Amino acid sequence: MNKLLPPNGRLLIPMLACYLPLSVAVAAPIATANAWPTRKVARPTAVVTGKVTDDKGEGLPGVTVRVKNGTQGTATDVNGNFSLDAPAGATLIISSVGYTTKEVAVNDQTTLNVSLASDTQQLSEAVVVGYLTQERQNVTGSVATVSATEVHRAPVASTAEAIQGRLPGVQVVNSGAPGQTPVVNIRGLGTLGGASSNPLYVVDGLWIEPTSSAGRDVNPADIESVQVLKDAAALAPYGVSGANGVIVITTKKGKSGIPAISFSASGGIQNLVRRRDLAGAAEWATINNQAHDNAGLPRLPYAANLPAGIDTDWQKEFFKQGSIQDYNLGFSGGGPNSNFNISGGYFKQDGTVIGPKFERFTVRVNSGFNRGRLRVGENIQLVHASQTNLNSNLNVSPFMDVLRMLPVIPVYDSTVPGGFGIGNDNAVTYGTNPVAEQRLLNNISTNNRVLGNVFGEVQIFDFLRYRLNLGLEYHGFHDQLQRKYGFWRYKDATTPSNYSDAQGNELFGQAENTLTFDKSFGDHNLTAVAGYSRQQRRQEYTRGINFGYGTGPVYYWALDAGNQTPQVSGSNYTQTLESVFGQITYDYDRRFLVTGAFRRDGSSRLDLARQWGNFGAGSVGWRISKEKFMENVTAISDLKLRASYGALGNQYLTGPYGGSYLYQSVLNQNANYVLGTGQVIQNGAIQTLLPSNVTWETRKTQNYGFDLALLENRFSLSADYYISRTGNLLTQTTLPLVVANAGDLPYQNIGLAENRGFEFKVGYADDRNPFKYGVTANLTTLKNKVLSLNTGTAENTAANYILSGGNDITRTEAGYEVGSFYLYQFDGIYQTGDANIPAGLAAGDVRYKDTNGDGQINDADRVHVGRVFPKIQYGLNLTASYGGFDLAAFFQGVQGNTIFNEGKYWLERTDDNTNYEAGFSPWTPTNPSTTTPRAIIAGGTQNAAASTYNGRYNSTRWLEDGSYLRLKNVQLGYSLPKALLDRSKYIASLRVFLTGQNVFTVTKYTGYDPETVGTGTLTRGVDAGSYPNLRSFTLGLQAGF
Amino acid sequence: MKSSILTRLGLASTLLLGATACEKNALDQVNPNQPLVELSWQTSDDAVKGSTACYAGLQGVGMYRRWLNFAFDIRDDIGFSQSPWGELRNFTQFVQTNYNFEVPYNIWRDHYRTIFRCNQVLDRVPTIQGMDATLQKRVLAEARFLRALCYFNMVSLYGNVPLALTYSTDLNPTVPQGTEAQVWAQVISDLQAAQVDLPVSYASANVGRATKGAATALLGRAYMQNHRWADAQAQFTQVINSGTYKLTTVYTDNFRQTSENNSESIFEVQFSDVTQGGNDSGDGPSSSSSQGAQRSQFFGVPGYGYNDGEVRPWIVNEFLKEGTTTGQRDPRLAATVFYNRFDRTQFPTALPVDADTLAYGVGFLTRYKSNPTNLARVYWRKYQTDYYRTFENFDSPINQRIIRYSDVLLMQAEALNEQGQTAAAIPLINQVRERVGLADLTVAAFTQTTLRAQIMHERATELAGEEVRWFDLQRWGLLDTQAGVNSIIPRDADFSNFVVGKSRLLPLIQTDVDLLKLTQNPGY
Repeated sequence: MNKLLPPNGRLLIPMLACYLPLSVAVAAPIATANAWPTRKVARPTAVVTGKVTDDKGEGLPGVTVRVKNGTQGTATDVNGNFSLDAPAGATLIISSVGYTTKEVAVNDQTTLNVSLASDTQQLSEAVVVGYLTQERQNVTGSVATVSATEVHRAPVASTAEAIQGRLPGVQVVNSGAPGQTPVVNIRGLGTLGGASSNPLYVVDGLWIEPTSSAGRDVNPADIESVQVLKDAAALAPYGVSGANGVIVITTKKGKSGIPAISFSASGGIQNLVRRRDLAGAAEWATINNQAHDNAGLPRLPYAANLPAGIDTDWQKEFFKQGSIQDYNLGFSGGGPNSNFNISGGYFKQDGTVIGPKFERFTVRVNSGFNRGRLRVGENIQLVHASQTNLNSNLNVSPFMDVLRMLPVIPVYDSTVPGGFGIGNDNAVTYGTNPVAEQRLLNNISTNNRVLGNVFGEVQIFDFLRYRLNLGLEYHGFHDQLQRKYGFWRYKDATTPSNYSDAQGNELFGQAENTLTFDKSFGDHNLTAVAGYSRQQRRQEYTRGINFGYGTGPVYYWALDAGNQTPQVSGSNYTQTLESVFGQITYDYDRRFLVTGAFRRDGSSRLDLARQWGNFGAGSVGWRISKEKFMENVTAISDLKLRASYGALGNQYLTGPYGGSYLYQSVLNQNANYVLGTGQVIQNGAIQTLLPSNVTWETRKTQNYGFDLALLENRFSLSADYYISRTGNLLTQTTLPLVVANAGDLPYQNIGLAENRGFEFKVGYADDRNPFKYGVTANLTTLKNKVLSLNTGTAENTAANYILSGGNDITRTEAGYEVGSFYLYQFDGIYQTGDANIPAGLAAGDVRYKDTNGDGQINDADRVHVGRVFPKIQYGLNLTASYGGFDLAAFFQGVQGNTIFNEGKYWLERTDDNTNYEAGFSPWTPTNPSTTTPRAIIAGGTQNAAASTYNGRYNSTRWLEDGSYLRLKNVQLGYSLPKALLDRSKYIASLRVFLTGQNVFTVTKYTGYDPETVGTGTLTRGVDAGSYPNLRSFTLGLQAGF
Repeated sequence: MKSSILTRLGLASTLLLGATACEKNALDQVNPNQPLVELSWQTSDDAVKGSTACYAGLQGVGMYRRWLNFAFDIRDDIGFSQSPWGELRNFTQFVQTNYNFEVPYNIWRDHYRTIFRCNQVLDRVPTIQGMDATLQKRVLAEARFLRALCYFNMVSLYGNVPLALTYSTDLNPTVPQGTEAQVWAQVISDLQAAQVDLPVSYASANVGRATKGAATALLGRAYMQNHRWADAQAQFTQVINSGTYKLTTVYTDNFRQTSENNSESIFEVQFSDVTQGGNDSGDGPSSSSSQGAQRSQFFGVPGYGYNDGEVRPWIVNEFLKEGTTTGQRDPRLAATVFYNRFDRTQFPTALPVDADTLAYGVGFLTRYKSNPTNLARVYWRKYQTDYYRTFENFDSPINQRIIRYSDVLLMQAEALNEQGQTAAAIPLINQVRERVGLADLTVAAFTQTTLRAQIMHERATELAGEEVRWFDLQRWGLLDTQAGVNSIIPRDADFSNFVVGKSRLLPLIQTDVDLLKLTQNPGY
């Protein structure tokens, strides 16, 4: 009985506090840590002075000089000089970003001159893998990296957009909607929609779960580096949360030295790249008349007689020029024992169609503090974002409505309540006036977020440290729908003006305790981590709606202002995760590399009986280039072979209540009915179908790869081959209607899907001459396939596929891709005199392939066609600089996929009143087209069957090649010479730049944009009018002070 | 020094191990929003809630809220559609290329959802301990009645449908496909059982639930569809002799919100406008789900509704065939349709223009004078809300009458006539005629054959737009022969698409044909 009560103690912070070390223990390490150095410093000290220079002998400013195992430290001045109190016999650690850190014993010297070698080794960057940071050369998993420079090139709101195409194995698909969250899939799609397919983001140690929308709000300007973890070895530390890959984002930290002020600003214009060439009123009328004549129906009055003075170009009315602005101001600095970075950003995008816009304010404060064995730091970002969403009526995108609306309907019509043209009996269409749709409904989402973490680290021994990492994501959201009075569609029901106000908040907290052991035994180097963590996410949500706000023009949008009693609804959920984990890396002489990781997770989202799972992976590497026999092979600077294998989970279930309670069968208490003479509502209750054994998905990945660097690392090549299989797939298999499920289909863990592919990244960079240049190219192949999908019980009767989309346009089943198109095959047009025209059809009608040869065209003739996932995706990045000029061009593309072009369907179906493409030429006896059937409107008295038969939605007639090549980004910059700036005294650096985004696209696709986000996991190849990507040109400047 | 190392080691282990949970069951999160299923079917209150949920199924969009009105009243020869939604229009004209088309798909889906709820009650309620035995029996009988009503519709629309009769949460159930005869047998046996335990009437709070009379009348109707005239007669006799029902004085009381569940009403689907705006999209009911009907929005005249369904003009002339004893037009004409009463070209009659064909407060002629096309059309008025408001929306509060007493009287007359008792049939018909002021029929004037034709006329005028005409056409055998279909075509050209041997039944829904391996209906 107790189980049925809401859990107590829902406050997150107190709860998480329970998972911190015992409070006594918390106090202890800090106190002790402070005490240790004091005890150690009972020795005489002496002043050491010196100068730090680079390898050319120039003084280096801002270099950190500190005493090893001590508290003392300082930084060099502008000329590279320093002065420090150091105990006798101390060792100084001298470090600076971009240089190899050096340790120098003071001995009895009082003056020390040190020269630092610049660290030019590209391959020795630090890579965060789980709970460890490794040098790139020692990494044996598959990890892809993008630098800050590349991230910052794109004038976009989110990190995912910024890295699109730059990494092998990472598929990012965008729309052009302001404030959108791109679809990111790492190594194909390992889910069938029952669980999230998004990666986990880890921002400075804070987990942003795949089900959270916070990834969008990390300001790309704050980013230092982005790493994508792809194989099991790299992901194993994330256990049941790691199956779909992890994107590790590290934000900028302050650097010791002179405090720096930076400012950047950019702004420009955005436009939709392509417009369709649509019929004007006269051309439209000709074809529409044909369609009515062929159906034996009277012509539409406005097609029979064109109304004077109306010839609306709906694209022109709906599309507009958009703009983009991005400003960032930062302050950073630090000394030997502390650092800080404060930055503020403002981003604004005004959409390219009437309505949508996005605005975001961000503030970030990162700081760090060292004293002796203690390190404390925090990274926090505050975000306020406001988005005006694109409205779709009845799930039809306005990008489809501009194709449906007739040119004989005016945009504005004062005779219609609300003032917008919606058609009438003279000009019938079921398209929605896209302008009215945006103007009459204001759909605003406002978010306030805090994203951040605080950590403390204690170096217990030289080889052992403890770290406590507390992460927090707070998300307060407010969604408002302000519906003014008025019609936006022909024959719409009268909707009173109404207002919906939804508010809620989400609080995610994590507490991670880790112990890290790090020691070398001769040539044996060992690092090991053991940890324990807890996470909790809570969401609360309340929504009110009220009606009757009058007919304008002034509205008061408050729930109380409506003339009815507001209706309210709301819900809440809690999710928890508890984990223990371990991670180990070992190498022998930096030649033989071994890693292993293990994580045991317990998740509240999963069936009690299967709440706990064990995950793990191992990898091995061999750095051949370190072998003795390679010593004389000078051309090869690095060569490493690697292999890994392991299993990860996906606990991010989707569905009601954030997927929190899918295994619990609940009663729906709202099956209400009115009874009695007073017609009073009585509650009815029904049982939902019992989902069984809902648990995590398991993804097992094997990975084989090598890294090669030649010519002193100027040339590099990485290649990987992987086979990844997701089992226990959480699916919502299509059920017979007789089963009588209402609401979401029940979730079942059935099925196995595979992704496999090659990934290559090759680069060449030469910066030895004043003319510096570089080329990086990446290429990914992907093959996605469902291997099995059945309930494992009675296979003969069991549902073994999932239908999805309008008219069940895709069918996911064994042997085919996830979301594979399942269509009637267009097979030409019946011509006059053809002998085999089926009853009800005539010459000029569509011929579909009779796949099973039974003489009938019906559902049994549908087949799997096309390809949802590109065979190949690639990126090519070219950079060059000379003097103050720098130029970068980035091409990106996909090859070998097909797209269902719903726009084409709307323009060519003819059974419904829509507009047509200019030059649209349906079959007539005198124009016997072989590709376009005769125009025929539905509901006629003759050949009624032909209309919907010809206009079939789920046919290959609308399927097109989705390959494209795009100049995604091009940037030309000019940095003012330092000599010139020195005269100003205030400006340290200044660069101006011009950026073009989505400059041009080469494709055969005839829709607005071949890059379509689809309409869901199982319908991702369907372009149902997703907001096309935008071409933008921006001008910007970056300045340092 | 040594103690320091020990301290630190101790500290390290404390840090990891000390992180013990203070809330042991943090992973055991229970849905705080809805009760778990384990809670249900414990008390008599649970049983009643379960039965209420069965009735709620009748309000589904694929049931009486919207689509049954199309499947019955627009596909028959009185209604037709000029909807700009071509696929819907085709559907009403016996053309359907997509066997998962939304309209028949939702009808199928919502009937099986209601059947599921009934099966649930039939399975679970008997397990409830300590429940009042009479109430328990009543709840079970209500579920049987509603299940029978669902299968009555299903067999009339689709024919050979799967017979789901047991409660199961198996996601891959084995559900046998029934033949038409098997489905009818099930309907009859459910109604026979329901009839026994249903009460004659309810206290006011429960008015609207199925009664003994409802089960008996529906059972009679089921026998009628199977031409079991004597069996039908026996049922109708019970209804008539019960004394529970009598015709209302005013015909229109049967289609108004203010006179629901009246003396003529035998069973109604209850609608209300208390909850507005919530649109049950098919995802199952929620607290904001509307309790209203959408017929009046979809059939509403231009300017007020979608007029996706309208009326063939012949029915107006059917009414105009005879006037009342005082020389007026049959009052049921104005109650049934909106039409241009001045149009004597399309509607030739010597009868005077009646006073009451305002459409939403404005005379029909005035309203559509400027649009000759609309002026010549005939629209549904029965179940429209224009008698009390000046707009239509998705939340009409008017109950839909499933069986009313005048229908029983006319069915009884038909049952008697078919058994050769023509003379006994006529007084029953006269009861229906007298209410609206028509002259009595005389026994001497009719043979069995001519009375059969007269009953067809009486049913068309009395019951047009009440979702029984489709049953009538089936029962009269007009859909089984080309001659029968040819006799309909002059009234409704849509029937020129009707293929004998095929179009009497809708195609079975493709999803279930695939997943349950059903045999598709002939011709599809």
